This record gives sequence, C-alpha cells and structure tokens, in this order.
Amino acid sequence: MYSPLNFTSVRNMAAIVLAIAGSFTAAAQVPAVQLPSPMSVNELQKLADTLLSDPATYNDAYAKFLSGVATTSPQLYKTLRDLNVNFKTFEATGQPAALGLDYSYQNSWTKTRVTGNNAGFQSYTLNFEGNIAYRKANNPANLLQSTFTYTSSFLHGGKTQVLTPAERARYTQISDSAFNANVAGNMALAKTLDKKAIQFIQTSNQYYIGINGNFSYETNQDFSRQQFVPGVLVNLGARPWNRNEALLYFNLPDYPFALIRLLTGTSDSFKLSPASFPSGLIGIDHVMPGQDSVRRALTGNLNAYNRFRCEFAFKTQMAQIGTETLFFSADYRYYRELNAVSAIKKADMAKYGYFTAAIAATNGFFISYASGKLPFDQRNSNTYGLGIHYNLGNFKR
Amino acid sequence: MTWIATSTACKNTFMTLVHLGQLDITYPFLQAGNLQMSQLQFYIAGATLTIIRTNAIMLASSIDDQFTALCGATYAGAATRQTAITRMQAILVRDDNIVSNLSDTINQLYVFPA
Repeated sequence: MYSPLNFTSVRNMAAIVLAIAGSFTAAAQVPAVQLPSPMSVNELQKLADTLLSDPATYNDAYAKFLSGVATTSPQLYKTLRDLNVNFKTFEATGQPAALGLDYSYQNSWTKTRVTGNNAGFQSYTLNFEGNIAYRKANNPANLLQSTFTYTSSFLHGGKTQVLTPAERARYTQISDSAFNANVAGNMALAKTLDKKAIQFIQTSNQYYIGINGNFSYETNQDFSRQQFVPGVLVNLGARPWNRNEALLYFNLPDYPFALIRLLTGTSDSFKLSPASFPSGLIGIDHVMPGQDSVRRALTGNLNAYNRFRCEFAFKTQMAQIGTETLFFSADYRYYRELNAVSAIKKADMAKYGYFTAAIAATNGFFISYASGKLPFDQRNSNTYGLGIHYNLGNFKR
Repeated sequence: MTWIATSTACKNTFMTLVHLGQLDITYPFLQAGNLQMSQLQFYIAGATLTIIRTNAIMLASSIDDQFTALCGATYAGAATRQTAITRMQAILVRDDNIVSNLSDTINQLYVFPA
C-alpha cells in the first residue's frame, strides 16, 4: 500500500513537479477522470494516489518529456532516447504490487566484411540493463548489469537464389498484387497471392556463430551486493529457410504453435516457421565478488569463482486474429557456480534458473509470466504481468 | 520520409518483412509503419541483448539478400552490402525504433527498379 500524500514523500514531489513544470497535461495524457464536484481533500488524495500508482502515468509523462527535449535539445534527446525506460508494475506471488521500472541502454560499433556466402563482424558493444522497484524488497528480478562486450562473429548462408529477368517480372507482378490487396483491405486475396509469390523465393539455410569476450559489473538495485564478471560466451543462431533440408524439423518448440496456426486458420497446413528457430548462448564467467555480505557470511570470504551460464530464446507467431498478430516468446537463463562449496549449495545459491514467457499482440496487449531467480535474488518468485505496451515514440511524430 | 503505399522502399520493406516471417501478410500495411522492432518476430523481449543482436544480424543480412536477389535493388551512393547490413542491424536492435525508421534507412541504402 502506498503512504498518503504528504509533502515529504517522493511521489508527492513528483506530482508537484509535474504540475508546476507545465510540460505534462494530465487530462491529455491519462484516461479522463470525471471529477465529482466539490472534491474533498481525501478524494483529491485518493485521485492522486490512483494516478501516481499507475505506471502509465509515468510512461506518458516521460514520453511527453522526451518529445519536449527533442525540440529544445537534440543532443540530450539522443542520449535519453538511447536509454530505454519503461515504467511498470511488478506483481510477484506473495508480495504486494510494486511500482518500478526497467531500463536498457545499448550502443555498439560494428565492422562488417562480406565474402561470397559469408559475412564476418567485429563489434564493440556497451549495454546497461536492469529492473528497479520503488520498494527494493518487491523487486522479483533484482539484477542490474553493465556490460562491455567485444564480439567476433561469422554468418554463413541465407542466400536467396537470384531470379532471371522473366522470373523477377513475374514475381514483382504477383508480389505487388498481394501488396495492393493488403492496402485495399482484401486480406484473403493478399494471402492467396502471397502464397504464389513465396514460391519464387529459394533461400539456403543460414548459420551464425559469435564469440564474445565481455566484462560485466553486476549489482542489486541498492548496490549492497556487487561483483565484476569477465567471461567468454559463444552464441549460436540458425534460420532453416530451405524447407527441403532437415534442419527445419529440429525447430522443436514450434511444433505446438504450428498446430495452433493450423487450427486457428492462420496457416492452411501444418508448417514450421524457419524464422522462429531458437537462438542460444553458452559460456563461462569468472565472478569476482566486490561486495556481498551474504556470500561472506556463508563462506567467510569473497574469493573469485567460475560460473557456467547458458540461455535459450524463442519467439513465434501463435495466431493471426483479424488483423492482429499474436506472438509467443520464451526465454530461459541458467547460471551455475562451478565447484561451489557446500555452504553455498545449502543456501541454494549455487545455481539460478530464470524463465520468462509472454503472449503479445501487435496492438500492444500482452500477458507475461516469469519464474525463478537471477543472481542476487535470494528467493524464487513467480511474476505475472498483464497490460498494454506503449510506443513512447508516438509523441515524436 | 513517411510511410505510404506509393513508396517503393516502404512497399519492399513491408513485403520483405512478411517473406522473412516478421509480419503476417494480413497485417495492414498502413499500421505496419508504426510497429516497434520489439513487435516483430525476431525481437525476443525477454532475451539478453546478445541474442537480440544475433537475430538482428541474421535478419539484416536476409533483408539485404532478398532486396538484391528478388527485387533487383542496387546500392545507393557509397553504400555496400557491408554498410547496409551494419546500418540495418543498428536500427533493428533498438526496440523503440519503428518499421518506418527501418524503411527510411533502407531508402537511403538502396535504389529499387521503377
């Protein structure tokens, strides 16, 4: 529960700043509220509590703020826009709903070299990401990561057969007809024509391997536990575009969704999706705890240790309902301390598993679920989310 | 550049995303321009950025390949396959970019036959 309005609370200060700055028009940015007249102080406080407890209020305010900054200070806007901030509510089982935000920032410099069917990449990437809850005890994913990564990667295949002039003319005619049918709203015709256009597309399987050397700084949100984590990761990806080769049939997670697509009429046959082949990474981190009272209490020291980690991610089209597309996505991360001492094992800190899944529609509606714990989380949690995804970019157009 | 049906770059961006499984052909073109990268198939919102970047590189390479092999596109100005993939990947990895941002970049990189 949130404390009542008073002039020393952070939330009350936020309300005052928003009102005085004049850069946020509440009536325009949040759902209209019918105010009874006259309103008592208690009713005003309840209204303010409602607005200030809703992450949509902060998301709208931030978007409006960014829109203003884009006009007055383009350089500052570019920096802030790169910092992707999203206010949300954490709802972990057994814990009250908690207002908070997640953030991510990334910038990278990439050099690409292409030779025939192959491409090589070298990139330097800076990432900052994490979750912060207004009340830290209610943060179900209490891990902030700042990472510098050097990546050397290799891409093979994915080549589309070049069409002859006659084939290209025919393909263009059919593809343009499908496009025009879509624009005209005749989706059944668009679908039929697009099936014919796809027959011209012959693409080889695509394979990706990347080797990453990274250095991370990990902490919980109050920085009471910190560690430095250099490591090596190998990440893999594939796209089985060639339906005549066996790789496509190894897209095991997509089998139930191929059935759903068939049953919902999204697809007229049982077809696995090449685009949804899972991606993964695997690696070893050398963890150097900097400040960790929990670990020190258990082991008596903050000696460095090695940690195995892996991750698998998957996303596929689940169904097409009218003009809206439903996607299912899932991600699983696993961390395991190698040769952990018994005290760490007994405290259930030797391994961490974190699973997230979501069904999201192109209109922004989503249902999400997360289970498990990340490094620094002391307990497993189950978190669900339900809401609408905001496009903060709306205000800049 | 706005997202319009008479733009070759917009049309080819939309149809190539459809053929690469990022969008369904029945999703309205006029609404597609406002879709965020995170609403396309390749962008797995719960995954670490390393995986998202992997998917983005594969997609950027495939987009380039289909433009040249199917659409007969050539590179505009000083653009090359290398620069095209790098620039498209930079757009794709930012989840708050929208499809019309991608189309703007594509319009700068490619010349499509009339």
